[in-house]
Amino acid sequence: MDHATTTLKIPSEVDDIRIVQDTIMERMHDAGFNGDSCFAVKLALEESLVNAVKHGNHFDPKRSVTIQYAITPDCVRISVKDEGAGFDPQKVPDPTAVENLTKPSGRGIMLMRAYMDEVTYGDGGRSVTLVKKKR
Amino acid sequence: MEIRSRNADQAVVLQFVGDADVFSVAEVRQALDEALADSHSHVVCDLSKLEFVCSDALGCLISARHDAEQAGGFLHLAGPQRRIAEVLETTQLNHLFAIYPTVKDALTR
Repeated sequence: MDHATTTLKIPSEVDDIRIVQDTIMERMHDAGFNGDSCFAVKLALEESLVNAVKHGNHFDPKRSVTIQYAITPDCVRISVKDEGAGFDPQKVPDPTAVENLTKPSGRGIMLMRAYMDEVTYGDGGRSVTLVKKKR
Repeated sequence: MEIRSRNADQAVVLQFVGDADVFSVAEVRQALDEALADSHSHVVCDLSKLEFVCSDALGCLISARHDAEQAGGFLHLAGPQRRIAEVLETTQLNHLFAIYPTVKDALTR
C-alpha cells in the first residue's frame, strides 16, 4: 500500500474541489475504509475545501489551495492550506447554540470536528489537518 | 443530484436523490424557492434517497424553512437515512426542523 504523501494544488474555484474529493475517496475505498468513514471524510474534506476557497482565498484566481494527503493502513491524513489572511478558529460561534440554529451558515468547522478524529489548525488558520482512523 | 417534485395534499413534496453537495447547492436552493412559491409555502422534503448533505445545503433548508414560516406555512423533513439523520442530530437541527419517518406522516402532521 502506498503511504507516500500526495500533493495537489487547485485554483480557488468550487468546481476544482471535485477532483480532490474523487481522488481521495477512490484511494480510501481501495484501502478498505468503510462507508461511514468515507462519508465522514468526504463531508469534512468538502467543508475544509469550501472554506479554503470561499473564506480563505475569497475565490481569488491568483490564490491556490494546496492539499496534501496520505493514506496508511490505519488512517487517512489530509491537510488543506489556503493563501488567505488566516483566522482564529476558536472565535467561530457555536452553530449548535440555540441562538445560532436558524443561521444558514457557520457549520463547516463544527462538522469537521464532529466527523474527524483529529482536526488541527495551523499557520494562523490558513491550514487545517484532518485525521480519520480506520474503523 | 436529482430533485423530484410532486403535489400532495395542498403541499409540494420535494424528493432529493443523491448528494446535496457544494456542486448542487444552487439547484437545491432553486427547487426550494419554486416549491415555496408553488405550494403557498407548504413543503415536505423527502430525504429518503438523500445520500450526502453539506453545510451549505443545510443552510438552504434552514432559509427555506424560515421563509415558509414567515409566510404562514411550513417546511418539514421526512425519512432521512441514518447518516443524514446523524448529521441533523450532530448539528442540532433535529431541534429546529420537524422530522417525520415518512412523507405521509409529514403531510398528515
